[in-house]
Amino acid sequence: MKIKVFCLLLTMVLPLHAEDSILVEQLHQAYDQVQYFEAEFVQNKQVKFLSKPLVSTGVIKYAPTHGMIWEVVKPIWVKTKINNEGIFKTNSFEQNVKVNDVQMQAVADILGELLGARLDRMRSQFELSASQLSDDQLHWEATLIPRSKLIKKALAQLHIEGLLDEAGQGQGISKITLVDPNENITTIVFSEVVMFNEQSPPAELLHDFQ
Amino acid sequence: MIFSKLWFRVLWLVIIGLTGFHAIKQLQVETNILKLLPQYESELTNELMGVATERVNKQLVLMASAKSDTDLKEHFKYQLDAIDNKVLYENIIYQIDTNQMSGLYAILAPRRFNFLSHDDAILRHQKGYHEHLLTLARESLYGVQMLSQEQLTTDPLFTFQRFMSSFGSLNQMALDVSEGYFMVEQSATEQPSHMLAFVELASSAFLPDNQNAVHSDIINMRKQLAEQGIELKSFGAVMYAHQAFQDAKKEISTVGVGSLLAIVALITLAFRSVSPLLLSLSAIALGLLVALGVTVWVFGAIHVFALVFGATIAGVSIDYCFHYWVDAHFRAAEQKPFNVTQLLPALFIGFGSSALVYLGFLLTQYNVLAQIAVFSVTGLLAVLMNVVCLFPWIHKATVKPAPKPLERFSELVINNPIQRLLRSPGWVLGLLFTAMGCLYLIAQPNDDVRDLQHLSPTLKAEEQAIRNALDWQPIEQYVLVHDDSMSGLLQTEAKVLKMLESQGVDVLGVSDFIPPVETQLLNFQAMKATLESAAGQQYFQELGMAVPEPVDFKPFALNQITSPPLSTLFNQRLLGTVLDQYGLLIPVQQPISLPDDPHFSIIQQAEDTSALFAQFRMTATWVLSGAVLVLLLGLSLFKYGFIQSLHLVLLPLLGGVVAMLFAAVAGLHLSLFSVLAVLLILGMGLDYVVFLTESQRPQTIMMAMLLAGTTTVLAFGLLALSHVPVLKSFGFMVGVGMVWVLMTAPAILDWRNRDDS
Repeated sequence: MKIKVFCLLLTMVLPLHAEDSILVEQLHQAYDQVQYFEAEFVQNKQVKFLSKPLVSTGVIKYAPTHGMIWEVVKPIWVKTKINNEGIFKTNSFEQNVKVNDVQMQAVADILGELLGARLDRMRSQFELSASQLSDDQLHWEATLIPRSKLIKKALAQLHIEGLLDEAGQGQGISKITLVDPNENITTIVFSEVVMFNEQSPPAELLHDFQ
Repeated sequence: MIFSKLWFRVLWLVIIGLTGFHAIKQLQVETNILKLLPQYESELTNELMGVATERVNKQLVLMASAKSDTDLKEHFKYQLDAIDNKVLYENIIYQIDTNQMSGLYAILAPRRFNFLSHDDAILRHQKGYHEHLLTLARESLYGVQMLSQEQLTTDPLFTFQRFMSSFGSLNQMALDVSEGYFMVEQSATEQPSHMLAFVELASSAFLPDNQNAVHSDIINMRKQLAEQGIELKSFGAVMYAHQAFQDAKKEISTVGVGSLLAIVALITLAFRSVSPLLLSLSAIALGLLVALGVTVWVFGAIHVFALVFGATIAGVSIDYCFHYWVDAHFRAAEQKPFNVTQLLPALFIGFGSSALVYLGFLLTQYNVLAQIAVFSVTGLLAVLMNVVCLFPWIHKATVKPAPKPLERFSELVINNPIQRLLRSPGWVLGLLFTAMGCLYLIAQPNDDVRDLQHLSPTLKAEEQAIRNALDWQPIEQYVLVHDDSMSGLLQTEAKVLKMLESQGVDVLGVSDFIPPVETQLLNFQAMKATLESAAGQQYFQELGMAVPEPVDFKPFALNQITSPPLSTLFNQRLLGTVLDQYGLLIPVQQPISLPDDPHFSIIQQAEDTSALFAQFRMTATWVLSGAVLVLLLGLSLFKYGFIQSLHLVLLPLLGGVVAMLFAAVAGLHLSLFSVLAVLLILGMGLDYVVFLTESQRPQTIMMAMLLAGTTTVLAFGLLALSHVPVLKSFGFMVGVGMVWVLMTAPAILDWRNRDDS
């Protein structure tokens, strides 16, 4: 009887870990020992109520030892630095002002985990509902569903897409899609990626983090 | 003699009966340790701080830690749910109360334009406010946050969203509530994650039953969680109080029983009969009962500390009993008739001098000391009356002579070499000044109220671990604000917050969230002006939205603060109404200064109390000096010459000072209670020197003194083994002081030789 129960549990658990491993493998291939990550992004917010989407562009910079910079360049300019000291904002009115931005912190935590190829926190907060490689073996995607009711109120689904090179090596995340319970959709597409793995980036790239 | 008259004895028994009946019927013992602390001058301040401290003391923080936070949540939640339905607990919170948040939103949202977050409210006073606010709105539009129709239609400038988010700033702990639970996650490192629970007790943390029940629950939870690899830590007043109670019980049972057995053995051996023991114990017990009755009658209640300290008069009053029994024994040995009348001058001079010292406590105006004074004086008088009225009446049996070895030992002590050195008052005075000079150089009084007690190192370590995990600093300074209306209270608080801000203190108050009506109107007008401004119109045009319809200002009713969910949210700040005044607290970390104002004051409870203790220590020292002068004057005028009186008073005083010097050298705690120890040594020591001076047979008195001194040293001196710093120091001083007095008191007999010659 005990063996039967164990086998049943095994069949339930195995696929979840198999799915999880694809995502982890892709993230590991792309970001294992990443020392610096920089990319341009285009964010597109589609709110059902609005006739046109809200599009913004900017740059994201990440260094595990220094934190993260989320800089929106258009249509407004605002730079947000997130590090162990907190969240600091610079815009046309104020410079490096510490702010309490829960949503920015949550996004930075998730991005930090993805770019650090760690899923400890995400595993506790999200359930991996689907993960697969595309037929042409050049894309992969994973869908994550929040576990807690509280997060579910704000976010119904988190969809992550990534690229693979011709040799099948993971190239990292190319697109993140967030869907809220009312099906308002936010997509963030990354391009022009600059990455330093295993070696320290040039000092001028880290200057912005100071 | 009046004491041997039947009517007087009956009258005395009636007084004992009445006061005893009053004590038993009306006895109210105050056990709250906070009532022991000196009070603020203002009754309102005392009452409001009483509310605040009682609330804090009912709080218990639990922290469960494990490597896997999934197991942690599941098992800790299970354990917490298991105790949640107990009447012992008013509230157990371990996750975000979504109902509370919804309730908060429901009552505030209809007046959303009346509220601005603290940061937005600061902007309102600046130039280019509209543009700045619209820039912030665009940052939200194009930032990382999700957008919805409801958000854009009801709060298009995101000001209300920022305002609601700012409620998180009220909590000064580094908690992660993203999953609803109160977590401190450390997934990036090898450190364990923590889950926190905040427990509120339904009633006082100082009730032993509550302490035992909470402690038992914690032990049980700790055991259950440990089986799952989860570690549980806790901290709260109830845990410290439980530990202190257990320590006290242990010390009382070991030290108390040990000293009692030694005393019983000593008396039985000395008098070779149990009747002196039984009569002495009865006389003291009745004396304590009378003291209790009178103290309760005068003060309405007695604090447990006054009761315990007052009970130490047993050590003083036993002198009267021993004096009686030893004299009776020697008379028996000499086959002479015994008459208590011969003892009266010594007994009454001894009592008078001790009473004078105790009455000095009244001058400190510290309620607990006043209770000790009344208790001690009435108790001593009652025991004295029992000895002189009842002993000769009840005890008719033949008294056996004292054992020879005891007599020889008394002789030895009388002729000890130390007392020879102190036969000259000049030497005593010189030694006293030397000891005082050394004390001045090496003694470091410690009036910090936090150091008076012994806190369990384990509990302290647990508290520190929880504080470290939460990055939660203890707050020891508050601004107490009060006013006769809620509106006035919030206005005053806003005024104080502005003053604090000008001193670089960054703290949010209740008025930052629920501002006075005048501020609500200003917020509303600023929002309306922004929406209707050209820049505002352009913002809505960009979004493709219509400009919201203007609405009329309606104030948010301030009385809603006093009911949930706002009252729950501001539970640690708002103190309710006391003496028709609304009160609130502003916690402040940094040092601040505020002008004198009838509506607010800085409260540093630990510092204020320590300062009051320091003040009482100084007052007690002056009382001690005054008592010495009055004794000197009284004895010089009415009984002895000046030099002899000086010698009489300085010998026991030197005992006290030497004891304090030894305590200082030993690194023991020196405080107000050390001065009280000197007063006690002076009181008891005066009995000894007066008895010796008045006695015709010094050996007899020395034997009584040895018995009394030994019992005193056993009763008090064993306190030196206590873990509580103040008791340890007190016991050590009284023990050392009384041994010193016993050894040096015979020096006073030199006056007899001088008179004879």
